[in-house]
Amino acid sequence: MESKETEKQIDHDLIRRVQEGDMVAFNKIATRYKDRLMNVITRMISSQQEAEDIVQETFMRVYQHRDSFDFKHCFSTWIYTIALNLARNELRKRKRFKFFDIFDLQGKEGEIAVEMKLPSNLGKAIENAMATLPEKYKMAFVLRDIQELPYEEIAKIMNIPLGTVKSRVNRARAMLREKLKPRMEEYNALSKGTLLPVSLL
Amino acid sequence: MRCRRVRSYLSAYCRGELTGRRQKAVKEHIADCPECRREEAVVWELNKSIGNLPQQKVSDDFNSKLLDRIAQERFKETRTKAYMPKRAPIFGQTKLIPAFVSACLVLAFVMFGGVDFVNSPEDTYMYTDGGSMTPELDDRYATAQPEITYQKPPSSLAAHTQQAWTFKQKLAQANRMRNLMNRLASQNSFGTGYSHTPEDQLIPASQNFNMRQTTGSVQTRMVSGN
Repeated sequence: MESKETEKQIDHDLIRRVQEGDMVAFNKIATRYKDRLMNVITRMISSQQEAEDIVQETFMRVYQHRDSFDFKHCFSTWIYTIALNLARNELRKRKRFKFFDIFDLQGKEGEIAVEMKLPSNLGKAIENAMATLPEKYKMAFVLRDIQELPYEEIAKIMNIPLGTVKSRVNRARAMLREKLKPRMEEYNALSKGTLLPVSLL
Repeated sequence: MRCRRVRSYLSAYCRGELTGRRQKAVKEHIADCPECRREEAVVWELNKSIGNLPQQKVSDDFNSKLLDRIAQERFKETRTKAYMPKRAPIFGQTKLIPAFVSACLVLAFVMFGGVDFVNSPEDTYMYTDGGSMTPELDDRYATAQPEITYQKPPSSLAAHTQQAWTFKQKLAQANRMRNLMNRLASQNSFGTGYSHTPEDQLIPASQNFNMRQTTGSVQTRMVSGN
């Protein structure tokens, strides 16, 4: 794993080459970031196909506005910001038409309930529980706990204070825990059969 | 530290985000509290499950699709910059269209509208002279005098005044005639009992007679009215 500073340097070299018209460098940038973005955006909007479209659109925007990139900042922050703004727009668009689509919500809730009762497929239950989180908590949670970005970078991406990021992440974790608690306790009792502190095991 | 507070720190504690005194306090509390220990186990399990979630990946042909789209974008940029012919300057400059339309309207107003510069009275002599239709080539305009003089039409006030004067003249004439008739009637006892003037048509002869006695004062009043 490259250090943060090295990664930043590599990104800056690549984007400089893209500014000079080097498409190989652009391809490298796409290869470096496509899966990271996909991982975040899929969790944000819960749709594989739409997430891929958003990721593609993100790279298009990067290409179109390549000359306006400010080398004082991290390239990763810039590209995540673009991607999450596009995802936000998509969610807003959906919310606008949610009124006409009452069956969608019913289907989602039913799916979560079924997943909670099944003994296996814990991952799916977590994904569904995550999908029900409010947008601002979900975004902070995904960037921190799924993508494992530092709090400072999340604050820059979301353009909010550091303390707000921490509180949102903590709130999202608590909400998720509440949703999944019965399932996790059951799973824990079956697998461990003990109540010793996990940190001491 | 109380259970509620410990539980709010549990997620951060299990991810190693707590440090110093707070971390120590949470650790000590968990060692003594079975409920919080159970909660800690849930959090550990949840963190582990989240860590095991599959990484989402784009489709295999993502890069080729993206580069195709970029190529289209570049082609569009290049064509716009280099190969597309420039538009005609007037129609290309959309900002000039309102000015152009305004100029056309002004021109149309001048040509077909209110101000008649060509046939204004000052220029009439150039064309009534019987000479050529190109005044700038004919130097007679310098000495020629206009044959058609512009006569100002009477205003409505003047017409009204004139009409008023005509009416007064007729009224005075009528008065003179009546006075004459009255005088003749008083001298020769001529008449049918009723006056012939329109004003006295409904006045009986006896009253008319009384009026005749005061003819002098009526006449005076009418003259002063004139």
